[in-house]
Amino acid sequence: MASLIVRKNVDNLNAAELQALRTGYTKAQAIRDNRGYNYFAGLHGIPNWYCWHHDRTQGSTVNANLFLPWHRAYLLFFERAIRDQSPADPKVGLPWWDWTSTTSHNSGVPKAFSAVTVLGKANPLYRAHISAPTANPPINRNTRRFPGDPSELPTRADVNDLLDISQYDDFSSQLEDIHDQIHGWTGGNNGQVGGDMGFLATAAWDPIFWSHHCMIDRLWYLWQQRHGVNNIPSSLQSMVLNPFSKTVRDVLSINALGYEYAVNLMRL
Amino acid sequence: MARSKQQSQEIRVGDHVEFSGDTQDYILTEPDKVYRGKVIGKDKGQLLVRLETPVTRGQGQFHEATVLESRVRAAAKKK
Repeated sequence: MASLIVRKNVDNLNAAELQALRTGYTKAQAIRDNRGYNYFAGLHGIPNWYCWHHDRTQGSTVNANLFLPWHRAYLLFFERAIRDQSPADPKVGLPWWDWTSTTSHNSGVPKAFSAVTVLGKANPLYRAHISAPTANPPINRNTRRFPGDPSELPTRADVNDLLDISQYDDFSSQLEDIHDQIHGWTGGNNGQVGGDMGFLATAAWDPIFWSHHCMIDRLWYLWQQRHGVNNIPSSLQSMVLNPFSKTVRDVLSINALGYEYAVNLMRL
Repeated sequence: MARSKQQSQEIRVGDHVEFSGDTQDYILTEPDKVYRGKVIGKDKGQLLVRLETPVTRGQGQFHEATVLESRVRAAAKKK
């Protein structure tokens, strides 16, 4: 049996792991077909709008709380696409951004994502190019990011309170509120335009989107450890997470999906 | 087909606008609520709007938000 992919805190990646991740992102960002970064980013908002937020997705009248399972499937397929372009060794999974950490509360966006260049080359975790020719109007530019005051980020206590909630719908809803806050904080604005993370239509192009959602997925996993892996309304379990060939039931166990989360030394 | 007056209106920086919330949004999430504000920036179908009333998401408060231009309509200026 293949070993599990280990997802780590981005601040805990060593130099070789971070370089492997950057290689994967750089190569994926250069691919224009359905193996590439632009394709996966375009599944979320513009131009395909498959994402589920606040009980809803476009193109369906069904209301269902699929925010967490849909994004888990989304990250899984994105991670596979990045790993396909990364060196086999070291084996790196998507890293999470712990926006509750002391480092984030002091410095904001982790250096892995905020450095404009690395060793004289463009940092693929800093920004990506949005190519959405079918959007109205078409979009063809680099992502923008204007993060806010680091002291405004959620705290570890906020997250611990969340993990104490025993009912899935309440947990998901309150986690989504914090998730929304991080999107708005990270995107920010410069007084003339807003950053992409704050704008659902283009958020998934910002490379930090994936690590923000990795943190959200990890928090769901930690909640599942406390309150049960299958603790989700049965009415949701057979629902299909389009466009992925997965149902909600298929994504409840992260080990069954082939990955796990490293134990954080500053464990929540 | 004739386009409605609302659709043909061009929104400019400085205009006051109003729009409904959308569950497919991070900040302006309430579909039954009408948000109002002043356009302070514009870029290819996106408007940056300074909200009349700040919006809270999680424990964060937001005074501005990005909105698709196609979602907004012009609002009467406040006297």
